[in-house]
Amino acid sequence: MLAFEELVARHRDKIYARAFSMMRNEDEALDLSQEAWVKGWQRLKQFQGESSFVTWMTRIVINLCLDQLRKHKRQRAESIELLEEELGGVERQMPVVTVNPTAGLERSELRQRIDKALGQLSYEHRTVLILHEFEELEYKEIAKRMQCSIGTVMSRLFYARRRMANLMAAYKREELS
Amino acid sequence: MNGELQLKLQSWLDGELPEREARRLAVWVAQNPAAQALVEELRMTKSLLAGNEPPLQVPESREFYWSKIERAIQRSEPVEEAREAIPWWAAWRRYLAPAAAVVLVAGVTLFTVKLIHPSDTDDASRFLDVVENLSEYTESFAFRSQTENMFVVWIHAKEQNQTSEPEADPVDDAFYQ
Repeated sequence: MLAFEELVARHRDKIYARAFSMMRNEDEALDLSQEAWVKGWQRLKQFQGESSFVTWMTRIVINLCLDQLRKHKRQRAESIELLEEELGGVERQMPVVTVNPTAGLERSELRQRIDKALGQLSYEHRTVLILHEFEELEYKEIAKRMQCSIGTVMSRLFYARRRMANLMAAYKREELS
Repeated sequence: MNGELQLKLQSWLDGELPEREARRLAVWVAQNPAAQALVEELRMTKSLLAGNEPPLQVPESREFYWSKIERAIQRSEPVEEAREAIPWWAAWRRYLAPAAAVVLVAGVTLFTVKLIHPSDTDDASRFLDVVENLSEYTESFAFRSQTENMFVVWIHAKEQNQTSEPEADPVDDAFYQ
């Protein structure tokens, strides 16, 4: 148990950060990250060492967050953003960002803006982006985890990327004005 | 550019297209400035996010965070440990007492039923009685069966030779004489 406590101490920030990035709620992120550690302890015998321990733990917390988000989704109406994406064409009306809107930014500033922009996405778009860009999962794997088709993953990822680019450009314009 | 083509460009960027199709698309993109601009924007967003996930720290002390995990683990463990501690033969013992009780009750019930309602295969003659009959012309027998819930009295005439030619009774003979 002492060794496990040490593992928790070493990786708790990363696991909590993943939960928070998906849930955008401190209390839920705390609860889910702790639940993930309990599950990790219970399934320790199943850890085969095919990936690193922290990657394995991250997969557990992601699954817990996805379950929780599914419960949330049942309780609320579809987001306007998701409806826009499903109707199609909205992202095509977004202007293509040709100049890097983050040029010259400090890394901490850049991360702040990324965090702000991620917070403005619907959870479906944010989750696809996180799983693809941060967790480096393939379309097929994301579709499996999110229980949707590969086509849905592709269109959500496309919309999320285009929206992120436009939000970053908007922050730049705000900064200049 | 239609939506399908845009998603194809994204798949190409993410390395999700088959090699042959990817080569064909690369040739087409090289000749299409609008497609190039879109691919550049998608690539920029992708590289912007890579390695720039906003870092977060658990907003609780190490001890407090761990104490909640530890309590949850301990709550879930006694049941698991108890299951593991009992060997299979000992686990069967817990079913032995109820099973013995069931067999005992069944045995007693069967015995009682047999006692009260003996089987019809028993000697039926036990229930055949000669009924006292004062008539010199008839004979009667009674049969009772509790299982069949019946009582039969069989009355029949005495045989002719007995009535027409009764054996000589020394007393009667003496009387007539």
